[in-house]
Amino acid sequence: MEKIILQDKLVVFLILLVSFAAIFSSATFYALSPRASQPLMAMGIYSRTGLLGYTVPATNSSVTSGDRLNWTLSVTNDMGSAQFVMIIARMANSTFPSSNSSTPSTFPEIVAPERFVGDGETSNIGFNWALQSVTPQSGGRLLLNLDVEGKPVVITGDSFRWIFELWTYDLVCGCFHYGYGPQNGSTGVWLQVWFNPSG
Amino acid sequence: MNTEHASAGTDPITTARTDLVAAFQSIQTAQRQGASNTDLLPLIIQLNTALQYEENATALQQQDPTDPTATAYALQSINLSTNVSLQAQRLGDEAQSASLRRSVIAYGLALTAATVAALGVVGAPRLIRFIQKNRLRRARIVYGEDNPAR
Repeated sequence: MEKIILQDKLVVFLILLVSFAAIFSSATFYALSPRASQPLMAMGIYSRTGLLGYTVPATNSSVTSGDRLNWTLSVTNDMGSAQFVMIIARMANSTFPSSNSSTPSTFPEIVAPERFVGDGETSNIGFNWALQSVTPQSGGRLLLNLDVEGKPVVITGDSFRWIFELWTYDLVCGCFHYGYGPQNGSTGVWLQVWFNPSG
Repeated sequence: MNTEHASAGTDPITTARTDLVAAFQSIQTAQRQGASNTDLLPLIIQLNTALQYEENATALQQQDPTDPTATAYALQSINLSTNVSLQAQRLGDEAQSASLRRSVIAYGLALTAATVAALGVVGAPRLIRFIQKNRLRRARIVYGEDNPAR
């Protein structure tokens, strides 16, 4: 009789032990697991002089020849790991379409600064340029001579704007690709700043 | 698919570029192993310095392919990247063993708590009986006329 009671108690103990172990282990697993988060990268641009035209037409964004502009590009990384980024700056006119969320623009690449950005960090990259001369041409078009980070740039046309695209390094292909996230499903990040050149 | 491959230059500059990417990969691995952002931030700063050296080397080499300063910059970049790689690997290993230790302790505590809880439930009736018996044993026995209840 005593032996049967003891056996019953042992069975009850084992059942309880397994149940409690399952409950406490689940709680431990939850406590030790990293919190889920949405991977994200963002890019912004600002200037101390406040000369940034985000709208069309570029109101209050007249750049006179001889003007030197010091802008700052900021890249925020919330991807859960460090990122190797490149920002491609393109000079655009009205001839081609701008970038979009999946395709980069086809305008000529002027400069492409690279930077390592830690997780949860915001990195600032200087972007300095100057409008050296403006020459009117036929059909209302303009010929611009610019100095971008010490590099001479010549462009003709109208509706001038800067396009900035965020590219990230993919270790699988050993190359930069447009936007962030996996190469075959990346999210494009870009912005454009319009300006009105004048002589 | 929009991709852009890193440009290749002379040997030390190509090596500098390869080492930069290797160091970046080590940082990402360390992060996956559990190294904290605070620990990795100095390495990111060092890696950006190495990138700056590599860019200087590339710019100088494009102007004059025989310029020894370009090689000097490339070598500085290689040294810094290698150092970052080693530090990242060390941080990653430390983070991994710390994570393993934490898991063992946490699950060990969970199992101990489960055992204590199961023993508590099974042994509770016996414990209650023991406490009651003890209380009875300690209680004063009052006989006959002394009993105020009578």
